[in-house]
Amino acid sequence: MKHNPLSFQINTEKFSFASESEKRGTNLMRPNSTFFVDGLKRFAKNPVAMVSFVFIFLVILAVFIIPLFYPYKFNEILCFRYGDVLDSKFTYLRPFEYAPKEIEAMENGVFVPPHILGTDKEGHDYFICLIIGARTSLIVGFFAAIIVLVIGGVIGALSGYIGGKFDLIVMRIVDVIYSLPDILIIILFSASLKAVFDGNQGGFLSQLGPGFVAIFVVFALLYWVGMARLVRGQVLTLRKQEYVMAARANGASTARIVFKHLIPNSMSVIIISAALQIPSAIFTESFLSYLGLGVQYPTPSLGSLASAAQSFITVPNSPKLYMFLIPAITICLIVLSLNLLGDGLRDAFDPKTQK
Amino acid sequence: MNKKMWFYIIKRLLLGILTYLLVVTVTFWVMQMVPGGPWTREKALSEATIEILNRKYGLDQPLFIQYIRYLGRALIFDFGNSFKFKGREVVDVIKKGFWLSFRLGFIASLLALGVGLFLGTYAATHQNKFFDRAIMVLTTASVAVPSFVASLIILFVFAVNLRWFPATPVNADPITPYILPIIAESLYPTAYITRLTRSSTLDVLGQDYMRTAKSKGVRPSRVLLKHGLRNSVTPVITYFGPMFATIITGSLVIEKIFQIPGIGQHFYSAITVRDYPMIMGTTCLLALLLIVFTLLSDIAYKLVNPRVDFD
Repeated sequence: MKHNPLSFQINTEKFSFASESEKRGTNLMRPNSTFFVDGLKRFAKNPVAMVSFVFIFLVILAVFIIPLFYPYKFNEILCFRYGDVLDSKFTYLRPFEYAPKEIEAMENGVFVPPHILGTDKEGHDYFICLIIGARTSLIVGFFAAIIVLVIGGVIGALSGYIGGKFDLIVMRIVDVIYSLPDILIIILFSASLKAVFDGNQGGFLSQLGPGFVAIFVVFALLYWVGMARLVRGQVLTLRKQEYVMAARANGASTARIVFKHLIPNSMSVIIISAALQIPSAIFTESFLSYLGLGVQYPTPSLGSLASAAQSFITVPNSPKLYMFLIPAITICLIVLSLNLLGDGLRDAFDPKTQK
Repeated sequence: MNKKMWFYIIKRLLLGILTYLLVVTVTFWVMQMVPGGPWTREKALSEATIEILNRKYGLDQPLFIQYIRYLGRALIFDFGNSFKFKGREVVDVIKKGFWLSFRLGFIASLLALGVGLFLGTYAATHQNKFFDRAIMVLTTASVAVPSFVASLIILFVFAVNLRWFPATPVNADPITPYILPIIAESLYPTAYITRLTRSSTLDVLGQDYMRTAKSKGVRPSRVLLKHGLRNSVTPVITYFGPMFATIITGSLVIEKIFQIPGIGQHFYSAITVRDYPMIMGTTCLLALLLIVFTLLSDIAYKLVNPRVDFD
């Protein structure tokens, strides 16, 4: 076909098929990467976040594995290993110190495992109390975060999505809960839970203790409001975004918009703030244990161990000071590394902070 | 202040009053539902005594009447006599405790605001230098310490070991016993405000209008204070209002550790002995302060940041 030089029609004679090497040039330089993989790569490059991650991982391993083989139990009063009488010589042993009866047993050739951190007021091995205490605190933190995420997430998303009167009512409830003093609800609820437990002796709930359940009830009742506000805000801003409108204009179904656009775009923000709920729950638990409202004796938590040993801090140069410092520092380290881990996750996965 | 602003303030005030009345409602019914009453003692009181006490404090009335009475009392802020402090009016007990907690909290929050804004701005303008790193490490560490641990360590170092300050309040001395609790109260907010200010100032420093102001020849300090701070301070305003309301009503833990008879301790003991008028009075005060200061910080936020819509 002869081509008219003034025509705007494409001159096909000027085109030829691409050679093999030219075809290869249009291939992607690297394999496709997803948002998740990108985030993981960014996360792995952040030394602070990685160190915190490894630390938390080791702590979790330690608190679940050490109790399996450690020779003492956290609720075992040591003197009962050597007869049925209470023996005050077993209380407040210094690290690696033995009680007279244990020395006697060792002289008879029995192996007595050392008390790495000594013993406490009741004659429990302090090291295993610390391990179980850390386990309790981590479990509380983890499950409280899940409760907050589920309740706050569902209510916040519904409130943002449905809007109207429903949103108005939910937001008033949020305001009221936000304005109620936490301590009032916590004390009143642990009192009423106690009454429930006293009527249910030997059941599953009474084994956990009112304090333990009260913490979860409190989180379920009080602390979902922050998460609900966050999720509602996310849903409200995302609904107005152009790409959601574009998807709708292209005929996407509501389900597709929710699962393909709304959830992936808000998930990172929500998961990160749920991750930061874990340290704040550990904080709350230690505060409640300090007031004697947390996890009940004999189950230890880091907060209750530290508050049980707080009298040693008012005496200058007390040799038992470590009984306060070790659980206190353990709380701080766990909370610190969880905070840093959360910050690292935010830097790696929050679409808004990406440069 | 335009018409829209006034409309917004009036709407928020009405919502605040609604929230306040709902708080009274929830508190009243939760108090009634929970087992245990104000007359539950180790040694049980006789039926006749309880009946007399109930009649004296109006607890023999139907619950609904009692509820309506509390709603009325909450609006004029008069809660009658305390059960625990015999013959004293709740408002007087609260006034005394609140005045103490308020003074400590007021100083602590101003300290936190001043130090936090300064350190945060300084760290942001000297990003990645030694002091920025040091400030970040310190603030990151101090938001990870529970307040009872921080208070006990402060008490241990400065009162027990160094003996610079007394560990418990001394009547004759109006200043020194309160320095440690003020430091303990301001620790967390200072660290938090520093971090907020640093990150928002870093955001602002990268903005075009900062470069424009600099290129016009405005002095660097003026660029930072006039153009920078106004924009970087907005997240701090949002945080400061509710924080101020919480801190002036006293921290229970810190008041317990430093043995300060503030409102936090009164509230705690009132709840444990079910001193209904006292619980109601303190809850109303705490809720009112929180509602008012959240509203004030939202208004301040909108005044500083005129771009924000009123909704």
